[in-house]
Amino acid sequence: MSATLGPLLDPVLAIAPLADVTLYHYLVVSAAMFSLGIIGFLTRRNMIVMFLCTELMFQGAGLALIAFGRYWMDHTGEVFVIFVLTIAAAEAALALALVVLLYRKKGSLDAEAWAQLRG
Amino acid sequence: MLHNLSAGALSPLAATLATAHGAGAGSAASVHEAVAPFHFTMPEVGPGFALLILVFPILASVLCGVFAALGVKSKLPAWTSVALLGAGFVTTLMVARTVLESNAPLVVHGFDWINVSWGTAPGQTLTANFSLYIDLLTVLWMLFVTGLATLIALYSSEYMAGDRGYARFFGFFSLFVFMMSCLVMGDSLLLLYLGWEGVGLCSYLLIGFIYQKPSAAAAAKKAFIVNRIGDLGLALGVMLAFTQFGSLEYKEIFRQVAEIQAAAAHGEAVPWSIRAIPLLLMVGAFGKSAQLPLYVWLPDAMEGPTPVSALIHAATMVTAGVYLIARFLPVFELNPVALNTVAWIGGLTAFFAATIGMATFDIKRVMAYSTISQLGYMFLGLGVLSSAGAANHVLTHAFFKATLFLACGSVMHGFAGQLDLRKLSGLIHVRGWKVVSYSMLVGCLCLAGFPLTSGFFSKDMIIAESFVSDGFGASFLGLLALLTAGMTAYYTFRVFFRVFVGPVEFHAGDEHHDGDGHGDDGHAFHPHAPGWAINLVLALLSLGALAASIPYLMMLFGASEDGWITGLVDHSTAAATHVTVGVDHGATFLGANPHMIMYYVSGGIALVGIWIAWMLHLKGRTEAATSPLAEEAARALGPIPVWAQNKWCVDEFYDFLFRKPLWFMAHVFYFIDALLVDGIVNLFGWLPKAIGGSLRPSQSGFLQSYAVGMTGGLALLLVIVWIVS
Amino acid sequence: MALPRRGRVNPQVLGALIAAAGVGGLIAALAFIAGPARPGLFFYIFAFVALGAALRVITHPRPIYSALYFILSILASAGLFLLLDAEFMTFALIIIYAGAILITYLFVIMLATTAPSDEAYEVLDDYDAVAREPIVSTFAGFLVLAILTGWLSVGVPQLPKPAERSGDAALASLPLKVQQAFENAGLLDYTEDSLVAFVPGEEAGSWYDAETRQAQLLLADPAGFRELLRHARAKARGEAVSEDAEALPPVALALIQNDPITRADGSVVVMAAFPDSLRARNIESVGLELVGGHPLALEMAGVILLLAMLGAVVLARKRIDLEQAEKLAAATGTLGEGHA
Repeated sequence: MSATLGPLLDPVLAIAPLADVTLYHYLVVSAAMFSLGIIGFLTRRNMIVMFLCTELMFQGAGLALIAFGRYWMDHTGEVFVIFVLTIAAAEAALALALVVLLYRKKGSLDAEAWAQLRG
Repeated sequence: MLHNLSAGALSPLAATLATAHGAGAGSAASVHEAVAPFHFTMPEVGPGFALLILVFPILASVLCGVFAALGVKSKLPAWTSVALLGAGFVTTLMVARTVLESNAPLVVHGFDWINVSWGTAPGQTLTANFSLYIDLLTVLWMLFVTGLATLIALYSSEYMAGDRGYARFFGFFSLFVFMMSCLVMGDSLLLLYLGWEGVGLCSYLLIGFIYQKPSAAAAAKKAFIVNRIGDLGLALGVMLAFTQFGSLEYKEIFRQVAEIQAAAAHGEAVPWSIRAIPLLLMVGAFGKSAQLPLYVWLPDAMEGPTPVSALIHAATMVTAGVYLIARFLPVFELNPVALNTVAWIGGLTAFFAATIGMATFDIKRVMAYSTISQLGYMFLGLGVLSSAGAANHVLTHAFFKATLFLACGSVMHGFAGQLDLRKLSGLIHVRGWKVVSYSMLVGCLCLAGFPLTSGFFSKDMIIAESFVSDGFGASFLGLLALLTAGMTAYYTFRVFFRVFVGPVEFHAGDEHHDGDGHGDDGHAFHPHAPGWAINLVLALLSLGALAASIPYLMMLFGASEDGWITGLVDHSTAAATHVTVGVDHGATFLGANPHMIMYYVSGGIALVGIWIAWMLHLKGRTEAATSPLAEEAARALGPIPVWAQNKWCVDEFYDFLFRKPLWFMAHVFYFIDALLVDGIVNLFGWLPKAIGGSLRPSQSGFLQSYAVGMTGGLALLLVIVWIVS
Repeated sequence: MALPRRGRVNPQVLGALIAAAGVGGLIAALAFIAGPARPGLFFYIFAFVALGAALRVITHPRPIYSALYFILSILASAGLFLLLDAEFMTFALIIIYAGAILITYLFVIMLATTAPSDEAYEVLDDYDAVAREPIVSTFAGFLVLAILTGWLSVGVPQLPKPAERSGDAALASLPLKVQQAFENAGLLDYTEDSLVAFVPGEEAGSWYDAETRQAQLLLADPAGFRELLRHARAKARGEAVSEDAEALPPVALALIQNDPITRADGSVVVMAAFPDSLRARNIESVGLELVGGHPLALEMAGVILLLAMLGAVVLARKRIDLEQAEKLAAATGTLGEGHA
């Protein structure tokens, strides 16, 4: 099978250097995910989606940690990610509890409804 | 033009400093005979007595201040002042004897005042100790200053009676005498300046004595401010003198001036910086002595009480300028331009003031303008290098002008402030006014230059000298001075013929309804005849004015050579470099001795002036208000009398030239201040508010906008770190 | 597909399914072919899916869909973790993130969303429909991305191949695993009851060295072992050996490094290499690292979770207003008394 499919893959391989996946690639993905998380956090007005985007940021950070752990041949990265996960879970719980409270107060999930600290 | 300095003639200046006797053969004799009366009457005293002359007036001033604070109501301040000032006069006499006998300047060291040194080079030490330099010029001045001060203090003890500020008046009066003494007796330019400013201050205080009157306050301010303009010139002159001579003390200055004079005699040019000194000093003299550009304060100064006018603005303060120039005549001689300027200003002032005097109705103002005119004569005399003539005229003028002022003052005092000559007439016939009238007559005769009066002689000295001087246009000035003499005679006797002779008629002045203590019902007005103090003083002064002519008569009839005043002057620094006036003058005019010619000419002119005054103002006059012939004459001259009456609009001109631009600039600056300065200050208040207001929207209260800010900041930080690394 | 819907089957959906099946088949085929030599392709697939899903998370107007796309992103990230040889984290991520956290999110979304009525079926709150200040935040975000990626492009060497992975360090802490591996290889059948662990030259320590991947096996019956060894070697050389002669299995023979050695104290040991398949698995390594290297952090994480749980419960309670008396009664447990 590899004989038949090999030549089929050649044009695909010519476009992208598939074999050379460096640490940099993973870090780019991580940075991109992190940035998307930031953009989403700043852009969305729905409070729940805002926190979802913070979770996205966690994701990106975790990916970077794992990548570095793999790079340094150390399991510290994965251990760190376990803790990150833990904290993300705790934070998600509390954040959602607060969101529920805020929703009860105002009846809407709009983040812009809360501007009482306006200067 | 330069005076021809014959190398053989020893400069009297140098002679004076060499403490030898006078140069000319005749001078010694004149000094000797001057000593005689003193020698027999006055005890010999040590130099320290000179300081007492200063101590007495300042003590009187302090005591009167205490009296004022304590609210003393009696005449105690007046008696204190009279007593102490009289003591000062007596001390002056004693010191005069000492100085006359030694024939050298007396230098008395009071106490160390300013004595700083910042280097060893000649111009780096400033010494201005409180020391006195009393030479014969000083003696001359001090005699009449202290004498007149005592008499006028006596006069004002009655004149100012009942005034709320009685003690204050005498305090200022004595302070003035102290300052004038400092001015005249000081041994350095700094002490002179101290006295100069001091008399200006006292003049201000005394002119504005009745400070509730707005016109008096304004007049005081005007006097002070106009004086200040002159004082600027004086200050600059003093500073320049210090930089040029390296010292402010007379000894040092005159020593160096003698050197410069000697160098100039050999043809060396005098540096411009030294030539500038007399020009600056002259400005100061013009301010203080009310000469042409800066005279406007003197007529307004008549707002002050009459004793003030008599002492300060007739006899003493206004002669300070004359004293300054006389004292520094050697310095002036280094710059002929300065001398010419002085002469011209003097001559023009004399003429100009006389024209105004002819048209004024307020008799005190007439006297003020005549003072300005006579001061112009003195300056003319100095300008043509007749310092003796100027000094003579100072002395005689002091006496008769004081008499005139005091007489006018008693008229004002007695007629409730009435000074308009259209409202008074025939006072000589009123009971109790004889003394006043006769002393007025004496004064008028002297002022007009009636032949054989003291004023006649002193004026003549000046006019004669101007004709033979080789100053620029001095002959023209001489003619102008003659014409002015005629005008002087006219307006003086205009006053006399209108106010004191003729039909008796008088109207009360403005102060009548204030109550003059006679219990009048307001309709019938009885004039307040002067009391013993006023009469006594007036009598003494008129006698003095008459007696002042004795030395001249003696000189005229050959009993003496120069006159003792001239002798005094010639042996001081005020001596001119060429031999002074005297019968051995050497110059001729119209082929004969100029003085003899001038006696006749000026005497004639005086008589003509008196006759014209009689024609216009006494003959055919039936009422106080007007005289028909005077009216005709005025109409014939057209608009000129009106202009003269308006003082030639000089005050208005100054207002336009100086005050209005200043007023305008003040408004401009006000707007600049309100807009720019206030604007900037307000900007500092507005700016934080505006910045805060512009930054406030960033505190929107939205969580996400803060997050945007944070993200942006993070991005920026990353950019910076990336660039840096 | 199993959900009830109106109308007939949508042909487009069908087409999409077929395409998805085809792509999936292609990927599976590629996976067969590519194997470990071509990790790059899978990286790109997972990366694009993750980023695409993340993009959809932030752009989709409906919050539920955002959450679902997030789950997809998590799955893709898990794939990336897998490529990085972090198997434990892969499944931990899926279990914890997708399984717990996201479910919580979904519950809260459902709790806090306005229910659609019959008229307003497609109700979408304004705050969901309209984003806020997209330009500024997008710019800021992309700026961050640009800088981060630019920064990272500074000569990063390649990742070492998995073969170089020194995951064997954990083996040092797993004696039973080593023992089990030798047992599976058949060595321990012959050396039971007699294994002594020692480090050559030292008294205490492990009887194997994870670094050099060697073990010292103490022989209980040296003579017998030598017999076995001789027979196995003879077999390997192709010599004829009697049938009943016991020999070490070839697998075990391959592990024996040398002949048995007699040590100073009379014991006989033989050096055996680790089997190739003996490797510490990722989960073992991570576990050892976690519990052995960061015990305090582990405990604290647990405490934090407990606190978070308590906090969430306390925060999100519904408050019920009671009358004062009822409250008092409820507190003292005397309900119904004195109540008319």
